[in-house]
Amino acid sequence: MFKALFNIMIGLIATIIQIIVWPINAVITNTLPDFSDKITQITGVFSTVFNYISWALSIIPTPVITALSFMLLCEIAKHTIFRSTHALIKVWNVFQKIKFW
Amino acid sequence: MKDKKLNIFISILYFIGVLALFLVITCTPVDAATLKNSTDNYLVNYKMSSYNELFSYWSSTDANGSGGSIADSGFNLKPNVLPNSITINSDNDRFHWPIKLFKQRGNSYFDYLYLNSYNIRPYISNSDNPNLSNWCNPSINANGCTFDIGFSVIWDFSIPNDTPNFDLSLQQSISYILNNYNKARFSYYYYTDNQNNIDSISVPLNTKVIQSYQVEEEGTTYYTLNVYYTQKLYNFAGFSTGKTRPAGDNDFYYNNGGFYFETSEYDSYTTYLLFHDNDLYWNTSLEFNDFYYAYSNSSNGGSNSDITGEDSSKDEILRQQEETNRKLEDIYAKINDTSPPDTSGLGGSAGWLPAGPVDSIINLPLTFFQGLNNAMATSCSPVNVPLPFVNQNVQLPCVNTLFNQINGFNTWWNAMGLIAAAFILYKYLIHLYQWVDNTLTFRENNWQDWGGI
Repeated sequence: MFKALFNIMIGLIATIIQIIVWPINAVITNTLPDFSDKITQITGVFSTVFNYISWALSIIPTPVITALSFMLLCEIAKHTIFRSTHALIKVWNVFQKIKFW
Repeated sequence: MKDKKLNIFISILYFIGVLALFLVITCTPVDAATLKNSTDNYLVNYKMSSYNELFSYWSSTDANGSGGSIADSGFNLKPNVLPNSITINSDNDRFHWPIKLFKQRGNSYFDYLYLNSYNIRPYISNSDNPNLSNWCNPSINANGCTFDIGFSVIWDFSIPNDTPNFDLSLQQSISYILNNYNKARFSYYYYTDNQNNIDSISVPLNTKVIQSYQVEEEGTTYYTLNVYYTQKLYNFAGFSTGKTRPAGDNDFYYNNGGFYFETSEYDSYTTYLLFHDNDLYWNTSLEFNDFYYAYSNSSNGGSNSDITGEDSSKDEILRQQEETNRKLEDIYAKINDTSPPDTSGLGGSAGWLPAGPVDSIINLPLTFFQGLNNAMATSCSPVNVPLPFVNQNVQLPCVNTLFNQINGFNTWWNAMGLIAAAFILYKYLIHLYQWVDNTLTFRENNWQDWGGI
């Protein structure tokens, strides 16, 4: 029962997100095809650039790279948690305004 | 600002608390085991619509309605897709499957035919693989078979070899349907005689069994079974009851719009049957609005009047006490439940956004960090740099390979890096501690913070 209720809530949120995102996707894809290509190029540039970065990083001693990786991991996790919490609070505020229960 | 954050925090806690309370209230199942073992007053609400017509079949018979011809002519099965997952329980040697057949005899009326479930084997199949047959064998699947959502349950009938001319004489079917979600149980008992009629005690010819209910309770001496019905019953001429064991009177009467049955001490495991005596309205659908089991632990075993007045009040108090005890036991069981929470609902959250430009834009930072993390985790590879004007590439070897060519330099370089990393980590961890402290004490709006070194 709990799982079913949880899945229903997640399904509702996913459906709402998809409904919101779908027209935006359609507009960008159909009216701005170049924009879609640019996004693909940017994504590709990332991988190319980081290939060179791995060469440059080899200059730095391995312990320093390990320490930097750890810090980067912590910062990403921290930022993700806070961003998610902030988004959840905003969603909760919207739910409070709806008051369907 | 601090009060605002505190209010948000309290709102989240309040929301979680209300949600948990709601789930605890709504998720409490009706436990069949509690029902079976209860010896005091206990009231359970059965929604009959959840159990009626789980599967129905249409079969043709010969003009005589002979049972043997049914077996010979085969069945035109029309399996229905189950509305949800159910588990059909087995109970040692009493392994029975719910089956209900409509048997046509001439054009005059219909009758119900119920076959011995020992001759019935269910299997499941699905539309993707029609050849898939997964027999639910009673001797193997001792704990019953679970049918998943969307699966068709097809019932196959195998006639024993020693009865080539299938005899319907005194065929009996007991069906236990244990709903997987609310654990409520509903049981059937059906009998036929060699005339293909219902052969229960004191049942007139052409009488149709509407529903029958079995009361199983040990150690108690008095039961009351109330069946409340809707207005659709008006088409029926009347009802009578029969008890399969012991053969006796039809203790049956109306009261407050319900049917009441009584048993005495030796009537444990007695089956009560409801019949109606009019075939003119065979096509009238019958619906029970609610179905109540009302158990009483009164030991007088008397008539209906015994459950009125003072005894009735006492029974009501006992029933409420039993219900309260049951709720407390549920709460106690939930408190002591050490099973991990089910987080499988979180699966697949990465696919919430449909693939497209928006998905790419939103995930762009994640792509960046993924690339950076991969670059830091992978080892160096030489870089080819094109030289201008000569149109040739020059390969830059990795620096660490140059370091390895200098004797001892790599060790010294890593030692220096270790010292530097220690300082960097020390500074970062100090910053992280301050950040956590500021966050937990609401001194900073840290969700906007990024790094800090």
